[in-house]
Amino acid sequence: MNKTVIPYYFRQAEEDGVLFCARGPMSQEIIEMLESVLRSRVEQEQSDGSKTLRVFSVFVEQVQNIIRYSEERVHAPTGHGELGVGMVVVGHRQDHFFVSCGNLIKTSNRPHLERQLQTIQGMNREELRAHFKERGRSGPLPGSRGAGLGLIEMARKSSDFSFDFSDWDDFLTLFSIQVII
Amino acid sequence: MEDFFLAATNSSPEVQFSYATHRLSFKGKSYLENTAQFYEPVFAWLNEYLAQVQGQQIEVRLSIVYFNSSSFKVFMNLFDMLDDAAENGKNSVTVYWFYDVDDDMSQEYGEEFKEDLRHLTFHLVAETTA
Repeated sequence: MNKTVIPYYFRQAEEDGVLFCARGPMSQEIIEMLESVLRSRVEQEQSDGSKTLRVFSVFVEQVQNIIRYSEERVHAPTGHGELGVGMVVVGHRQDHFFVSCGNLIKTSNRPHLERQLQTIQGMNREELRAHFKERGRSGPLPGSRGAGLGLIEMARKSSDFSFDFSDWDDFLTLFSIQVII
Repeated sequence: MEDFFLAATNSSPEVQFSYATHRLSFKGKSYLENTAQFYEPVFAWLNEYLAQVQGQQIEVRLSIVYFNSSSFKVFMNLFDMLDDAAENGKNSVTVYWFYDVDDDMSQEYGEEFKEDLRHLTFHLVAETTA
């Protein structure tokens, strides 16, 4: 048994090619603070400007989804609303980057979200482009706090993505998504 | 009508509208979490402006180095409004969409905006960052 929790996380992160990871309450301030750090870290690995921007872009969409949709919430320190709790991991493996995030959702929201993701996953580039625009015009879906474009945007900026729903308790499910860039 | 100005922040662009010269500009990044809320006063000014402007040459410059998906929707609405303002020769509206040559997505998004617009002139301008 380790005397601290770090060796366990640290070794696992090294093995997975993790460049950055965080779990906890997420806020817009955190995204802004991390922008330059994350971009230079990604550039260090091997990268053209376009890839760096894509990684950052997917990171932003994922963290903003956690802020908006996570069922696990804490009060913002400034008293302005609430923050969503979640986890985000950025890594580099073989020849690609991955950006992965997870948060708890109501199990009752799973079918709707799963259908949405399956639809997006089945689309080619042109279809994604059309779907993105159509959604941009028609406005957000009920229950969506953003423009409802984030998931489509992630798919557009990735070469592939996968998602997972893992049972948590009687009411909650751990939802996660991994985007390859 | 008063001019409109918002200074840039880490995640929101500088917005500058001049009533006298009919020049509007957006410059910087746009990836706020509460995008709609940020752009509310911007659109309020624009609505008032477009309601009274006629027979003018309006120039709109957007130099957005990075934007999130909810900002895409905002820009789409913006261009629709400007397109309406140019309908039937009511005004002459020219939009410049500046993008970094290394940013293929920004170019693609610019093209997507452009293909829906009927009345205004939309230019995509590639820029090289040092």
